Amino acid sequence: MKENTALEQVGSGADRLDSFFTRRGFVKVSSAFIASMVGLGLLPDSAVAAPTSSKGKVDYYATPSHVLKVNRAKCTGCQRCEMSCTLLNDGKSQPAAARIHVNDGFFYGSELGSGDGIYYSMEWNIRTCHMCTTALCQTACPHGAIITNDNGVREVDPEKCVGCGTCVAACPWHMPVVNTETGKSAKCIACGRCAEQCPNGALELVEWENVNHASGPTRQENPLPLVSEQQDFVGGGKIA
Amino acid sequence: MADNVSYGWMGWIARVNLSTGEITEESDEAMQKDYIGGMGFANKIMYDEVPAGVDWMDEENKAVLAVGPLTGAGVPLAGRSTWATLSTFTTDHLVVDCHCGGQLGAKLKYSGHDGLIIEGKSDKPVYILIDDDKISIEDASALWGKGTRETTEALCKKHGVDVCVAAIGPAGENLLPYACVLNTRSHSAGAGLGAVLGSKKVKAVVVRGTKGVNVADPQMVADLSDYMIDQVIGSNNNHVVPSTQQSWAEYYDKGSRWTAKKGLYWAAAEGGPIETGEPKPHEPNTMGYRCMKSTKDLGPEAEKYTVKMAGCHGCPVRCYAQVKHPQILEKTGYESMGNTCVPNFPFSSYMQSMMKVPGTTTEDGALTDQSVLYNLIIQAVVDDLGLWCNYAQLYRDIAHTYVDGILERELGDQFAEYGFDKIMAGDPTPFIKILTDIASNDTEKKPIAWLGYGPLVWTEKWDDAKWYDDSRSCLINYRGWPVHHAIECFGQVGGLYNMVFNRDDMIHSAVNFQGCGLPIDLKKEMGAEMWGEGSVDADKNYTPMNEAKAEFAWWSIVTDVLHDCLTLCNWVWPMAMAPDKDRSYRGDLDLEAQFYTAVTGQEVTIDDLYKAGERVMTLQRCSTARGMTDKDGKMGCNDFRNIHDVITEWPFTKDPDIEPFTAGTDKMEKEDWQTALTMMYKRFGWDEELGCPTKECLEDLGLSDQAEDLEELGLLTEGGTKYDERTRTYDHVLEKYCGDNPALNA
Repeated sequence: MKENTALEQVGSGADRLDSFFTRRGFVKVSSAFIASMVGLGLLPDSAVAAPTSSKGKVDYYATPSHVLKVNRAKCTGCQRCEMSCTLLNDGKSQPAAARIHVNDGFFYGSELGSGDGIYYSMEWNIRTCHMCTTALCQTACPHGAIITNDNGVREVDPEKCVGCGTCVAACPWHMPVVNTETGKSAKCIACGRCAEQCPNGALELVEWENVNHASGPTRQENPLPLVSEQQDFVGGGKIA
Repeated sequence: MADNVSYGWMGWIARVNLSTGEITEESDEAMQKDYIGGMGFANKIMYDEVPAGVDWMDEENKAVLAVGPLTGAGVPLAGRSTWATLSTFTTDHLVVDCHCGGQLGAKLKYSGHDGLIIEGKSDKPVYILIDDDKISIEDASALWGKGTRETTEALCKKHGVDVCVAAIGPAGENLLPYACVLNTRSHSAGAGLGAVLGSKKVKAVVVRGTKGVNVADPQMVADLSDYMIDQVIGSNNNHVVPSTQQSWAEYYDKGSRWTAKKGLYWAAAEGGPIETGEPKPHEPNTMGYRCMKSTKDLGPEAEKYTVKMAGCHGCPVRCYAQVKHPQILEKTGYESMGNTCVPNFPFSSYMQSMMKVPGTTTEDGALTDQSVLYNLIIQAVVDDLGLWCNYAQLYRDIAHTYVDGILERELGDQFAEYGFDKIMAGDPTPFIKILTDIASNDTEKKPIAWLGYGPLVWTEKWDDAKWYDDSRSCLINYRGWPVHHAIECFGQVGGLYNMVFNRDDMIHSAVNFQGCGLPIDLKKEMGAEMWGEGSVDADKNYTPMNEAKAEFAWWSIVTDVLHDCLTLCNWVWPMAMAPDKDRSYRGDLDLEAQFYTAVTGQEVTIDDLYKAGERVMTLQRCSTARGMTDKDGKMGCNDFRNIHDVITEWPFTKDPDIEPFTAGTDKMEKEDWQTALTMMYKRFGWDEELGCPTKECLEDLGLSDQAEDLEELGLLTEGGTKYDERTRTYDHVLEKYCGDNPALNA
């Protein structure tokens, strides 16, 4: 079993799943095992019906089919991705409930003092779902409301979701959002609508790869000191 | 259930009374159909609640912020917002609109509000916090005296980095008439709004919005957006050809704001330069590279400082340069810079022609590195001070009063302290003191601050009334505002729309078409389809006034007003032209109506919406009539022709050796100008002699209350024609070019 301390901490058993379903490979497990995974909602229904290989074993590729890749240097901050996401997936325009996050990192980046945002480096913090092979949002959900769809993508079942926010807390990037209006969580389903209309091609929906370190820095290496700790207004009042 | 859903509009306007501390919310449903939102809501509220004769700093004045049904709804270029209040700097201090982009409009909408009415006065510094449904008045004592950057940062530190802060700087606190409200670092709502908020002791409005805008037909909004971005929209100002010859393009025009090209980079981008390249029509994912604004505005030297472009919420045209400059950081304390309008070129476009600072341009006329520094230092200073410029008038006035010896004469010993000698020698640092002293509004100790009152005041103080009639001033109306694309833009057409508001017009419908880059013969053909034969003349080769030009002027005004109601960006909308050769470069004038229907679920035509735009324009005309003083100084006046719509003298006297209506000049002719006013008044259904709204026109627009008010004041005249009897029909006027429009195919 490969080492993954983050998963060990969760203690959910997901780490063991991870070793079966790696992004590189097909694994051979028994169809009974697949069925039990489907029963738990950890694999899609189609898994049971997947073509069997010889000797009654099932070939199954459990990794999400696609993932978003971001080049934040290209992002011009229009936030059309957030509106497009929610128009398609929620039938309304609601950036705060979008499955991609730009607006909350636009002014000052990941946090005040990160040296980012329109007031500093002019690079903002963009957060997209990493499509983890072992999704902590899913394994942490106490209601089994995050299921794996036919593309291997984790999706919130609004019928089961109670909006407790456990998934938000469990995700290392806090990607799921509990919608303030519906009280239900939502997360990226790799539909690609955001990337389709990104005016700068800063977003791409690509075949799954590990993007944990691909979305650019989340702060400047040497952030400028905060203006509010330096001066009241322009020129530091020195010249005037 | 479905009956209770409000599509497009959030349905509520917040009212914050600073005198009583009372905070309420009220439904805007009754205003939606007729006034749409934004400018319409704000002007309706100002008309109903702020009586004529109130001065801008009175407790009875209000500041009304509003957005419209399309704001934040997913429609392209729907990120703007409009305030209305009383002017601080033009004659009679009548109602003005203060538009701004950035994030403020969208955040307000997502907080569940279509508007915010700020009324009364606080006796101590406060800010207004809107956190979705929770609205409160908070203590701002610790923020008083601070610039807009520090104010924003302090409030984000307290309330979270996802809130949008719209703040005034020292200029607004000091009640300087030229004060504005800044959000998102560089998006300014001007016309003195900062001073109005300062008079109410409001340092900032802070908004968090997590709600959604309900959309009746989300698929249609997405489909229309995709269609528009794929083939209808161009670049900034809807320029539809590139500025350089490119293999894909039939035409190019060096004035175009479609400035991307091979070998031109966002050179300071994180991780290495990003090429703007040759973004083409039908490429939705390169759309945001078309407008390379830093080098367009600041000159070729700005390339190396360019991090990227940005702009308002929800807009795929990225027109805001984002630049960083080590010397600006050193001099001002701020690294991030960039704008899309006057603050990007205050020095090079408005001062240099008078000041002639050596080293500003190269021998072949390109702006130098020194010019970049001059422009950016002024930008950094004014945006932090919350100092507005009256569409560059401040800069022209500084340059003029310096080069013509007025400052030296009026400032006495202080003159030397302003370091104009250093500025002339290549050091822009003294601008920090000049602008900071203007923002101080300490006219007694620092009389240079009079420049921040506008020409209405300082030309009188310093005995310089002739400045209005000097073409260098660019002042277009004696009530105190400058040109905003005037006679140089289709002659009488531009001149006319510069008259109608109580400030510079900010109308771009016509100038977008003028600068779009298509050849003039094609533009004449397109003009004939949209506004009638003879509506469009070649630049500086204008013909006498005709009905088609009046139509074009009317259309320019009503589309602008409509966009400020919806709210859409009139710096690119309306879609009169397109970059796609397959559609013969025709735009799509029905898109506003189709988006409106898709978002709100209510069927309208573009003619219905133009009528609403006309209603809001005419309503503001009524406001103006109530409060305008006549030649004897009596309040209440309907003689717009002789009191309000009075163009300055220089348009008639410029180019003394050339006759009007000949090639090479945009000079106007006086009798023709009066004909132009008559034709425009007629097109609006206003009194053809006076230019005031008539009884018939008002009743036809559903403005019977206003008709009664004007009648009571003795300002109402008879005559005028109903809207339907005088309008061209615009519904589906370009339909044959719009075969791919999803709403037509639905």
